[in-house]
Amino acid sequence: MSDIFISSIIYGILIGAVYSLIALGYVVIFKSSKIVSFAQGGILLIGATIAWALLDVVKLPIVLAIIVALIGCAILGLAIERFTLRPIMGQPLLSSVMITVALLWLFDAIAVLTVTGAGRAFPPLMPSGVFQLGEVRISQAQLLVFIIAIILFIIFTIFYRYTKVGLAMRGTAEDHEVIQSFGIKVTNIYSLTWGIAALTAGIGGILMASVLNLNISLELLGWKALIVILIGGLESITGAIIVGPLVGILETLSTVYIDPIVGGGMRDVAPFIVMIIVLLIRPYGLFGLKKIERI
Amino acid sequence: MLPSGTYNVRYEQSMAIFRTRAQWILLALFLIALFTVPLYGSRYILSLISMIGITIIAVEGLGILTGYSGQLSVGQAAFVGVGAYTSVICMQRFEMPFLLAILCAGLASGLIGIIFGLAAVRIKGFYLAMTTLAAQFILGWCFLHLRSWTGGTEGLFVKPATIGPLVFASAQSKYYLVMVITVIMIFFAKNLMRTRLGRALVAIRDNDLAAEVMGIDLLLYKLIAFFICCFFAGVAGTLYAEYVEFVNPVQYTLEDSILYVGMLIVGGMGSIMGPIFGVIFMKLLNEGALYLTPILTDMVPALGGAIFSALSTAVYAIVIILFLVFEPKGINYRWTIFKNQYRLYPFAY
Repeated sequence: MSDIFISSIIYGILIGAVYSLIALGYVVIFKSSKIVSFAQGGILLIGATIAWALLDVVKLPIVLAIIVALIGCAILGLAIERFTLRPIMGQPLLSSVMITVALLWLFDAIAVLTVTGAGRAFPPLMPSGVFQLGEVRISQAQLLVFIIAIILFIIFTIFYRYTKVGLAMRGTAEDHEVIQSFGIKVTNIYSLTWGIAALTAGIGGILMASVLNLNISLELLGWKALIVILIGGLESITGAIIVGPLVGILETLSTVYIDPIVGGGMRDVAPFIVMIIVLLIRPYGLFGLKKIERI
Repeated sequence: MLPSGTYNVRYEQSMAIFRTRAQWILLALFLIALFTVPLYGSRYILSLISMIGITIIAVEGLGILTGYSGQLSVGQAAFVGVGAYTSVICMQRFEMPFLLAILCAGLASGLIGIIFGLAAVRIKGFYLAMTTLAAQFILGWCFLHLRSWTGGTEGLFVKPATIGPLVFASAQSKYYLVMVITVIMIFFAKNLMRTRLGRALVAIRDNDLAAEVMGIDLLLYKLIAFFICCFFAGVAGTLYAEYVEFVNPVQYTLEDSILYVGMLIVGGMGSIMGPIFGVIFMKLLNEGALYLTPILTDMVPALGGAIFSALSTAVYAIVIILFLVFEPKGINYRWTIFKNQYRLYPFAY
């Protein structure tokens, strides 16, 4: 009993690390543009698809293929910003959000065209070994994903707190006019934001594809990550990192303990129920910024 | 804006929805055209227009919640589903007449909407949108797992609706049923938004703090907005279930909810015409994409037929993106500009 409990917690943490990684992309975009980008799930899929094509069809060496795929993702992010979002800057935010939804559909369709229904076997990138801790087994690949998520978290935290560009991004989210008067170009900041966010999504996509193989359901990770940032707070990198594993644990525990009682499917519902409860107590998420409103 | 040379001299005139004689004539012609379609339209046309009508009801409700009162909801399809299941259960288990069942469906949807709307007391903006996303997933789970009521994955079969001696079984009669209810619901929505309630909702959308200071009970009005939105969803759900004679969890997915929001945005928010334009545009676009796919697959046969739906999705997505990039305010905004120019024609102002 307790072995199942411990191993489901550890498995949850490792799965949750991926949610955290993808959630970082959402947070980066929201921090500077107040847009929640639904396209993240699609970019993730495209990143994985490019990597697969380079490795399996073009047969590039692994490191080169990954670098090219990540550059491809970043360029995709820049293109999205330049050609779809910049023209409607200043228009209702919902229109921008809807565009990201349409982009998600587009990327999904492209991925379906290249990957086809059954999915593709992804060439092995990561160690396939397993650590044995007593009765609990931890796959090395998932541990690696976890470590990469932590490294990215540290990089992002330092970036936003100490670098000039990072501070400029935070300022852009606050007030366009003020930040422009400091001599910072808002459009450049937006481009950079989307580049970084797409890069993060690409990393997440490639990592997950190497663990789960390339198939369309990878896109679902985008939705899971959305719950993570809502519980954690839309602006909070710390929130994304801490809540990701918690959501992972919640999923595995509800699969193990609640599913037998209610007949399955709790994995997808439980995080939402917890999300509502958390938001009712803390309307801006656990680590989100409380907005002070004036008339 | 009024046509040149028309002045409002009485209160009723400035309150009129249809102000000039030309507008009344156009309305009459439009209604006549709408209700004579079954005489010459094919089955395909009838089902297309009926589906557009049903979707207009659902999106019109969403327009009241999102467009007028500013509370984004991405759970509309689930509420449509609640309406569909409720009406079917009412009619088959409790043998209610159709008109009572449609009311029950609206009320049931509305009450469940209020439960999720209660979150709006504390949660605002995008966080609130995501609690309605939770509604989508939780209700979807209920459709699948409350087997004794909903039939689970198999769904339920629906008997044709009856009002007194009338039986709505054929495509023509269903068309009339859907169109009459759609017109009533649009009329209802239009007038509701011209009352104190409608103006209070707009005030909440524009600045909720200021609205509260002016004496608008935020909680009450937000809940009313949720109720109305979901009531419309419930009515749409009933009609949908009656139309396809079948209810099944896969008819009410997150994709549909997002599509409803998309229709609203493409049409233009904060107006009654917006959802109508949006639904017609997106439905026709969808039909066009479905029509185009076989042609595309013929041109590039190497891709094969398996990617049929993916191509139409891609076309669909590209058109929506282009549309929003060039007109982020929606079709209704263009339409208003066009109408004003037409009415003022010789003059530029």
